[in-house]
Parts: sequence; C-alpha cells; structure tokens
Amino acid sequence: MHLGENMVDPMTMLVLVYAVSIPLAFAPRIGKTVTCLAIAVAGIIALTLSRESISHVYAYGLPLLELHGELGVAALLLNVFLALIVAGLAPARGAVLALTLVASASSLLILMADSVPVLLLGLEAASIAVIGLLALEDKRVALRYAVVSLFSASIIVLGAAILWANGFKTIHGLGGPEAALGLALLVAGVAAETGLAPFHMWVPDVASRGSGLGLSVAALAVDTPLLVTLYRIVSGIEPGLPYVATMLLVLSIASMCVGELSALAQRDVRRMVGFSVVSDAGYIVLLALGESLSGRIGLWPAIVFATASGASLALAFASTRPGLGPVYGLPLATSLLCLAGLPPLYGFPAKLSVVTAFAEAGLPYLAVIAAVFFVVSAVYNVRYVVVNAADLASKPSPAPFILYSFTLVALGLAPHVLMVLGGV
Amino acid sequence: MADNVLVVFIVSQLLAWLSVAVAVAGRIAVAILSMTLSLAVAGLGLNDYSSLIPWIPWVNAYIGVGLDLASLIILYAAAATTIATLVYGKTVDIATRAWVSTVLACYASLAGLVFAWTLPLFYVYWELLVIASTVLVALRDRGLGIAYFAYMQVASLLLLAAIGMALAEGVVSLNTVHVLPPLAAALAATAFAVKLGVAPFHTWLLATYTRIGEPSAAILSGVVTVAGAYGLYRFTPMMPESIVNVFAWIGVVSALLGSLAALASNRLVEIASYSSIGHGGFIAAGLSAGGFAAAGSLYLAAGHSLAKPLLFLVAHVVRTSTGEEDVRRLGLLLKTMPLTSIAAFTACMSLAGVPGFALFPGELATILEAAKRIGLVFAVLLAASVFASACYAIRLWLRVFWHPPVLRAFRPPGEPGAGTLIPLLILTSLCILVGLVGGIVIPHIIP
Repeated sequence: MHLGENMVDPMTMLVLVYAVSIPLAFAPRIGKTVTCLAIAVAGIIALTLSRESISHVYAYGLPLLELHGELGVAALLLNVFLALIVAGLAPARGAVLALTLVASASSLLILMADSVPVLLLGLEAASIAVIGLLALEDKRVALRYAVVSLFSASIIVLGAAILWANGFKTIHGLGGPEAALGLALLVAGVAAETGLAPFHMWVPDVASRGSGLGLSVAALAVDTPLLVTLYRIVSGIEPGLPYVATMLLVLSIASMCVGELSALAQRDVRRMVGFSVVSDAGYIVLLALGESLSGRIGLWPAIVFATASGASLALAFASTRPGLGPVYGLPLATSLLCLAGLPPLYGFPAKLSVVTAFAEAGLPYLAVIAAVFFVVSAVYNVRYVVVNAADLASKPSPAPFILYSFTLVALGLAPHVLMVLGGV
Repeated sequence: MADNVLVVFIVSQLLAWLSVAVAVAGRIAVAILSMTLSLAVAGLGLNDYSSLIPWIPWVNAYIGVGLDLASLIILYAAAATTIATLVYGKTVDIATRAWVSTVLACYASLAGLVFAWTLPLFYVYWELLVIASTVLVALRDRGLGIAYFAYMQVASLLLLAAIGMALAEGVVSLNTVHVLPPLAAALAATAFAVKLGVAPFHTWLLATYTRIGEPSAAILSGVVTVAGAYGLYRFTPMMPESIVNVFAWIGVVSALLGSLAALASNRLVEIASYSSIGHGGFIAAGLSAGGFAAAGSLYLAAGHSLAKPLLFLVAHVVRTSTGEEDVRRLGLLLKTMPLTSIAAFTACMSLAGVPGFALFPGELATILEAAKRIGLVFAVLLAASVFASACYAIRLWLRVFWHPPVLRAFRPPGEPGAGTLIPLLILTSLCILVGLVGGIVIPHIIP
C-alpha cells in the first residue's frame, strides 16, 4: 500500500489530530484536556489503522510503516497510559504539553517503523521531547540523556548507512555476511538507547534524578516502542549470523543479571526501578532471539511484556520524586507489584507469556532462566512494598493514577481483550 | 447447563473475598458468616466442570473451573481450621483486623485454588496464596516475611516454568491424559515439595512456624501448606513415572527425618513444626505412589490440616497459660486442664496415626497401596515413620499432660475460658469424625 492510496484518510486524521492539538496545547485552561484527549484519540486511530491484515505503507517506493493489529494494540495502550500520565502529572504549561504530544506522535513512528530512517526520525523527535521535559527540572539529567541519545543515534545512523548501502531497505529479513556489521551497529545503537547492558550505566542515574513526567514519557514513548521495534528487528534476522545471535544472547542475559541483581541491592526506589528498565530490555531481546531461532513465538508475548513493563515503569516514575521517594501510594504499589508479575495485574500475563513462549520455542532452559530472574524481580519489588506498606498507605492517589492502576488490573484479568482489539 | 459451576465459583469467590473486605472494615462476625456462606455455595458445584474460556490465547491459556470430592474435602478441612483459628484468635485478643483479613485472604485463595481446573488459573490462586501467607508472616516479622516470600516465590516460579512448558505441550487443564515433559514435572514437583515442607526443601518451615506465633502457624499448616499436597495430587497423574518415583523416595526420607527430629525436640512448636516436615514427606510419598495411595494421602492431608492446627492452638494455650514451652518443664496439666488435655490427646493421637483419629485412614490406605505399587521396603519405611510419629506424639502428650515435670517443680494452671476451648473442641470433634468416616470417603476419591 502506498501513501496516498486508501489509507490516506485515517493517516491524515492522525496527522491532523497532532497538528491541531499541538498549538491548542498552549491555550490556557483547555490545553491539558486537549492534550490528553488528542493522545488517547491518536491511539484509537493508530489501532484503527492497524486492524486490517498485515500491511505496509510506502512513499516514493520507500517503506515507511508496518501496520499489524498487535502494533496497533501497543500504540493504543501506550497512548492511553501516556494520556493518564499527562492528566495526573503534567503542569498546564503549553511547552510541556506540546513536548508530550511530540513524544506521543514520535512513539508511533518508532513503534510502526518499517525502515531505519523512519525509526531514526521517530527516535530523534521523541528523544528531543524527552530531553526537553527532563530539562524543565534538572538540566544535568537532560544533558546526560541527550549525550546517550546522540551516541545511540550516531551508531544507528552508521548502521543504517551500511545496511542501506548493501540494499537492505526495511528492518526485516536482515541476513547474510553483508548485513552483519550494519546490523551489529543498529542493534548496538538501539541497545544503548534502551539501556541494555553493557550500555546501561546511564539508566539508574537518570532514573534516580529525572522528573517524573520526563521519565514516564521516556518509558512510554521511547523505551517501550523501541523495545518492540528491537524485537521486530532481531526476530526478523535471517539464520546464518551466529555471532550476532551470540552477541545478543550475551547482551540479554547480562542485562537480566545486571538489572535484576543490581535492583535487588538498591534501597532507593527510583534506582531500583531504573535497573528494572535494564533487565526488562534483556527479556525482550531474549524473546526475540527465541523467535529468530524457532519462529514459533510471534509478536504477542513481546507486545504484552513490553507494554506491561513500560506501563509499570512509567507509573512507578510518575509516583515518585527524586530524593523524596514515593509521593503517591496506591499507584506506586500497583506498579511495583505489576513489575513483580503478581496476579491479577497485567504483569502476570506478561510473565506467563514470556515463560510459555520460550517453552513453545523449544527452549525450556530459557524458560527456567527467565523464571529465575522473575523470582529476583518479585523479591525486590514486593520487599519494597512490604517494608514501606505503612508509608505507601498514608500517601494520596490522584484520580487518573487510580484509573491507571485499575487499567493494569483489568488488563491482568482479561488480557484476551487485546487480541480482540487487535482483530487478530 | 454445564457452566453452573462457573456461577457457583464466581459467587463463592465473591463471598470469600467479601469476607476479607468485611474483616478489613472490622466486622469479624460478619466476615466469618460471609466465609461460611461462600463455603456452602462452593458445595453446590460438586462434580461439575465448566467449559474452557480463552484467557491468554497466544499462550494457549484458558480459564476453567470444576470441583470434585478431593477439592471439596480439602476446602472443608481448611475452612474448619480457618473458622476455629479465627474464633480462637478473637477470644485470646490476637485477632487484629489485619490478621483476620489476611487469614481470610489465605482461605479465599485456597477456595479459588481448589476450583481451578486449568493450569494458569491454578497458578493465579497459587500466587494469591503466596501473597496472602507472606502478609500473614510479615505481620509478625517483616524480615521473616520477605525471606518467606523469596522462598515461596522460588517455588512459584518453578511452577510457572513448569506450567509454561505444559501449555507449550498443549496441556491445558488438570484432568488431562497428557504426560508432562520430565523437566516440567520435576519443576512442578519441587514447587509442591517446597510448599509442603518436604525435606530437603523444608528449610523455610521451621524458622517460619516457630517465629510467627502458634495461631498463624496453625493457618500456615492447615490452609497454606495443604495447597502443596493438593497441587501434587493434581499433577502427579500427569508426571512421568521416573520423576514420581524419585519424589516418592524423597517423601519417605522426609517422613523419617521429620519424625525423628520431632522426637528429639523439646519445644512444643518445634515438635509440631518437625512433625509437619514428617507428615509432608509422608503425604508426598503417598501422592507419588498414585492410585488408592494418592486418594489416601489426600485424605491424610485433609486430616493433617485439622490435627496440626489443633496441636498448634493447644501449644498456644499451654504456653500462654504456663509461660513454658519446653515439654520437660511441663506436666500434670490433665488434672487442671482436662478439656485442653482432651483436645491435645486428640491432636497427638491423630498425628500418631491411632485408629479412630484423623490421620489413621489416610495412612493405612497409603501404606497398603504403596506396598503393592512401589514395594515392601517403601511401605515398611512409611510404617516406620508412622511409628516414629507415634513416639513423639505420645511422648508430647504424656510429658505435658500426664507425668510430673522432669526439670523442675511446676504448678499447673487452670482451664482457659469457654471461648478459647470451643474452637479447640470443634477441631477435636472434626479430627475424630474424619478418623471415623475415612473408610467410607477414601474409596470415592478418584485421582
């Protein structure tokens, strides 16, 4: 399907929603409401776009977007969660709201990118928005995030150039010796941005000092879509690149080890959650490797795990302040228990999906490894909630975050609704 | 009409969790009433099984519920223990809102677990039971609660890995003819062994039971660890014979070690705790033997979930009345505490496997069938563990209630109030009833 054919109407609507809402975000009194609504509506339109059978959008012969029902569901979830974060946390300042809208629009590009230039465009725009949001509270944190973003973008550009030169136009089906270097650089760049070990050193520091809004937007609009795209890239690698697979296996298990074990040693909730970012990236890469090796996992386990992780991380960041610890009790407890994968929260189907996916891929030892790391994750998250139960119970909970928490419960109780929504 | 049981399950669960909410609000009597109603409703679902409802379709996970006699027996035994312990806790002023609601949450989780007929739903309630029991432990000691959670979470995630592998193999429900892959079977059996406190996976048990207070230990032994026995009962028919045999022998070793350790102990709660390790091993061995032995062991688990809490509650009465918990410093309590002595006698005779008391029918069925299925040596070792159990149980009762104290002169206190005695006597009656009707019930339990 080419841009300008019968997909033009919903696509135009999507562009219009963002184009109209960004100036309106600066309007006094209605700016915040418009922003929340625009983000949620954009999620619904993205889902509508994606509900058809698998299709690709081209422009001038170049691949732009890939539209799956699964990706549409991810877009909807991330946008709804982002809208609730904005409703509960964002100040009614035009610049902040506009940056959030830019991040939201860019996240759709990252999530549905079919080629590296589109991925890069989305990533750059989203990163700039997050840098802006972080800079509003702490410029040093924003600078650190900017350095990492620039570093990763440079490596991705280099990788993309090499792939492009070798005739690889899309992010799928990368294989053969000619793709090896470009692929390695592309994956390394994405790994740096998502905090995969050994590129993870910046994550806990930024997590412990960044603003709640900036970090939540980073989790929902940059990290999660990028992880899904990383999954799509890695799972699509054609066989014949054992060294790339080995590199990714080492990176993923190192991330899980470093993330979970370091989080276990933390007392500051922000740093603890920061290390969770590292480990969750590891699970996604491991899943992608499983799919690459077996072809029997599919996109759902990755979508569910990435969105559950991203939603929980965003809520945890939004419920805490650097140096102060928890400011909202129920949302923080919900997010940590969701990260721990306890039923009936959304983290549970995510955890079960990952373990079963490995078993289905014929890799039961990876199921056991994942289960072992899930134990560590459950222990440090539940430990925090148990030790700070009285403190958390005494903290307030804003209405949008209560709704956010209920959404996590509802998704845990009825995850099959996602499949219905996706029309898959 | 096949999904009547689904309605029964939903209503029963709503009432069970409503009792938790009511307890949080401080209405303990209403909470117990709601729990009892939930129990009554649950009974309506007997021998009914729902169709499967898609839950997480991409991993082949469905929701299905059902209730057979085995589930109902476990549920009723756990409910009796819960009610007796709550009433006891109320009369001795340990029943805070948090404690009561946590105890009821343990019951509500178990009530869901016994209805679960598909693997993911079983796991969900298993996790809820872990969370509720963790809170129960953490109410007394936060550090211990976290350690307990870590231990139980290891077991949970072994079970999760096993369930993941089972789902990947197309095993959806618990009443299947599929055989689990050996790795999945081994992981699941280990998870159940941890919960049941079978040696060498028992290391959490002693520290937890002896530090959380006897009433909470009664709930752990009567409502929480019984889930391990129930899980093993459901999963062993799906396990390869090699794995089942290994766990049968592990169970025998645990039965012997636990009973001998109880015989060498002098603290009341320590004896009860080691006894749990011993009986956990016996139950695991019987369930692994399969067939009629499994039915006997499940009945034994139900009896154990009445008799062991009774012993813990008696231990609490004795400790709080006398200030002593070393059996060598106690004695002659029969003279001044006759009703408590009867309750203790029933608990001890049940644990000793004496005919007419709770554990006898299950132990007899297990030993007889295990001799046929696994061999005479196996059955003799099981019988030896019963003999060791009888030794420590009879020693405990004689030391505390019959003989004069060994270490120092001791003035026996009077009988506690009627409010304290009633729950003990209810459990006493149930232990005897379970012992008497075992011969009728066990043949109807079909593994």
